[in-house]
Amino acid sequence: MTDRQKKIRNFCIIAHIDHGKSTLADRLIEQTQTVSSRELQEQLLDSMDLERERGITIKLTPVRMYYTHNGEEYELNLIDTPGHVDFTFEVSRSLRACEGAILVVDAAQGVEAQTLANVYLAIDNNLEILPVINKIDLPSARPEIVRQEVEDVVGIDASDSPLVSAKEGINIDQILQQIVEKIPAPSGDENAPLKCLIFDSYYDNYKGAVCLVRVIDGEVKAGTKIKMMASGKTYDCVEVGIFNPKPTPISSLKAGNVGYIAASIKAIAETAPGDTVTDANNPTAQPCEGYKEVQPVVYSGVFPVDGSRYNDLKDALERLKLSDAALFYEPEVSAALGFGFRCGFLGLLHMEIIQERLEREYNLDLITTAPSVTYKVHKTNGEIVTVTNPCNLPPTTETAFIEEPVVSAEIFTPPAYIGSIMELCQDKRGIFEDMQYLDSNRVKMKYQMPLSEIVFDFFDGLKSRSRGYASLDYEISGYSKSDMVKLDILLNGEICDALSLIIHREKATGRGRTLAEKLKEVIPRQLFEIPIQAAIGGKIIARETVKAMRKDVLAKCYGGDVTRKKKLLEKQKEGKKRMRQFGSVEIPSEAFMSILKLDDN
Amino acid sequence: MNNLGIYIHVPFCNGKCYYCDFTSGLYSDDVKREYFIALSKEISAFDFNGYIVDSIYFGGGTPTSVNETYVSEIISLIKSLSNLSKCCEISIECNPESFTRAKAIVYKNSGINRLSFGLQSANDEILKKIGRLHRANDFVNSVKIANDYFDNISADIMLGLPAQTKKDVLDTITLLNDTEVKHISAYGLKIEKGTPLEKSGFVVDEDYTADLYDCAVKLLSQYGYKRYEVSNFAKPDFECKHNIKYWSREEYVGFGVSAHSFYNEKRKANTPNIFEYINGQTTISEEIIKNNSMESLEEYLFLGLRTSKGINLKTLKEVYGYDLLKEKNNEILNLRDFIEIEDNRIFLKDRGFYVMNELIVRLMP
Repeated sequence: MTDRQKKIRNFCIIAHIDHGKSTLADRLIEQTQTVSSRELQEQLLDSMDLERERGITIKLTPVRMYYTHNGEEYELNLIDTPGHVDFTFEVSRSLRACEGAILVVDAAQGVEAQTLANVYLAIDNNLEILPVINKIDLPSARPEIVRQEVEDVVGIDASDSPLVSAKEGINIDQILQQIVEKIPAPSGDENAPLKCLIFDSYYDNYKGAVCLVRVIDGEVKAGTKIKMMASGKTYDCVEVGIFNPKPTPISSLKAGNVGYIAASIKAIAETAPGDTVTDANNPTAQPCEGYKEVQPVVYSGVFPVDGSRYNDLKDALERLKLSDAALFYEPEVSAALGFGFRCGFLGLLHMEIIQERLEREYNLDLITTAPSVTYKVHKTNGEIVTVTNPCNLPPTTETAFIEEPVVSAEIFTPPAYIGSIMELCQDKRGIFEDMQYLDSNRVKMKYQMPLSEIVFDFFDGLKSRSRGYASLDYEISGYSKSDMVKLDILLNGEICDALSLIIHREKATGRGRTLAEKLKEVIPRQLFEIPIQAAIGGKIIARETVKAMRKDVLAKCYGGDVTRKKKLLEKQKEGKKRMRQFGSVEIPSEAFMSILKLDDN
Repeated sequence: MNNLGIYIHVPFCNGKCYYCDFTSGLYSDDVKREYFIALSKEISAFDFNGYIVDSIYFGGGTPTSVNETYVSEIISLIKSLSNLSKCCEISIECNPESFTRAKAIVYKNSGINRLSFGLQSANDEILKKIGRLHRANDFVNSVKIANDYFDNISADIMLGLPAQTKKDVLDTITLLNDTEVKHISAYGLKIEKGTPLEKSGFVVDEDYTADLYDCAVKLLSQYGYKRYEVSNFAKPDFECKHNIKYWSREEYVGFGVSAHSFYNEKRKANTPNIFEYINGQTTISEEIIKNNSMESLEEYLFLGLRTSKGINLKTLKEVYGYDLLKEKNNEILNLRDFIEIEDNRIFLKDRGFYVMNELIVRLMP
């Protein structure tokens, strides 16, 4: 190891949402004077508006800081990690770029489910864990108990963990000292062939797709002919640099460094995270381990409310895809919703984020259909088809059986809510596996559960049954044979494709009834009576009727004032734009959304 | 020479009805005097050149709540400034509780030839519930007096009032027919924000109001009142000329607080604030609507479809450039239960009148 390497520390921060990760990162940046406090925008690392608002981190942004310890200057690279289960894969990538992790635990709330999942990931990656007890300024803080909890639950020594308040800036220096003292310097040979791990990438309008890398071995600089080992594509490196925290070009990145590589790469898809960058003329023998292609888990139809904005939606998705390789989409045509896209997401949060970014950053109004998982349909002729859209479900006569994705779910909750959570899980077709008391206040429950049930309203149920205390972690564990049927909604006698669902037979009747009732509420009265029916395999199981409208008139034009009437008609005309014409029935776009969340009871 | 209608707003009342959100109220005699001075100024400033005035309409508020000489002086002023058509219709809105023989005589002498009574209902319990100052009997007495001087008498009734039944509506219409009223306007009650009726929590049952409308239309037709607009019914030749101007986009000028005008391809609104008006700050908004513009087309469509004779498809195509039959071919087919096309006109069927907004929106370009 060179002297240069001995003065590098690469670390990340692991924390549960709300435990103060971003605030702590800001404090570290401030304390090392990487940014003057005047420049310091609250929570610097969460650079997307959306992230700042939700207090979550989605994109990873590494920051290089300098810290002087015992008269020596150290280079500290903080690699931020997303805090949500949908992004577990991204977390594991950034963990592999580090030698250590700061584990932030809220002094009032203690260890939480997601913290644990990520800590285990970090331990699996042989990272040195530095526990930090945050929010000691809170009146409800119980730092000593939480320290003990960290030792008991996580199983690591927390006796000298710094007790800090990131918000108040208390004891931040202790963390910096421990980073230098406890986290190992990066190994690696700067004279060996180039080997960099891409742990993230982003799209820059001027530089193209930019790779965020940790250099394992060798050196990379402008002019190096680089090669992506998974895709085999080569590029000329145009610029390398670091983040302090703005992207800043430097002359080269060497073994142990964290930074970026820009090589005029056209699409983000070519800079797959997990891939290895090497020197095309002198390649490394082995790529970094653990590369896998991201697979969408949840699918949903996305349509513009105003059908004429299809092309805008297309452009927006194309551009989002440039910066989010995990987003999948393909064109879809619906009889009710017109032209749109079938989109695949990593999970529910990812879906929500993409939808929100489309609406906010691209100013689109969207209709999204009920999220669907990927079913494997075994046909009678032996063929297996993958179905992500209820409309593509083969007819029952051709279907031998259907398999649905199952997850192993871990629910962490205070013991008081065990009963009602068990009830919920049972209702969601969960199969109980195990229950473990982590301490007197926390229980871990393990279930095997169909993903489709989690996708439909599970989080809300969990939160409301546990007053917000329970949390959930899940991982796809496989597929299992299941009695799934297609539930259709008929409006005025015609199947409305955008409202069809694939659902377990036992639940179909109940859901069909609630759907019909809900639709009756949200579809406004029209000139004609509209029958709403729910059907399973052609058999009607529920019926509601939207009565014909009787009165829609402005009686009087007071003293020749036509403006009221004009405004009213204008509004009504505007309203029509938000309606979808389905046969002779007009469906407000809200109707499609309002059925995404239903209480089966 | 173009025809011109004149609307005069009298924003004074002896009491405010519980459903009313118009510009009207109780003011001192001083305010009334100053108001009519300002009104005279506004009228005098108007250029009547090139116009023949063929209708004048005093609306309110309650025009009968002010001294009748204010009214006659305004009419004299208009006569002195403009060419008045020989058959000029001059209407005034009257409330039964403030209508007197003395007023009738002055109105008659000043040239008024049409009275419009605000009856609303012939059921005294309902009248109390909506804050009207008169009772059914006051109306009967007023009409008796009015019949001595006028043959063109109209009355307003309302549908959907609190506790109103079909029988109430039918009784009211029968009373009007018996008292030889020639014209009836039947307006659906609309709950406006901030009115006592709104605050009381009363909600109009829209479906029931539609039922009331249907049975009112039926009886009115039996008595020989012909619907010529969604809310207006008249015995033959007693249609209100002034109101027809609104629906056929003819020109009218409004004087007074919150009055509206439409002339010279311009829609204009006056301030709703009586004190601003008295201080001479008259106009608050003005909008140009060119004769062949999209907006004028929309107006032609939604105003014209209010009337029984509907709109002329040829005019629509040639003047406004909108070929409705071609553009909305499918829609017209879908809506055949509600609209009719005959002799190059499109008009609403009975079923269409009370859902006309929806129909109009569907027929708009």
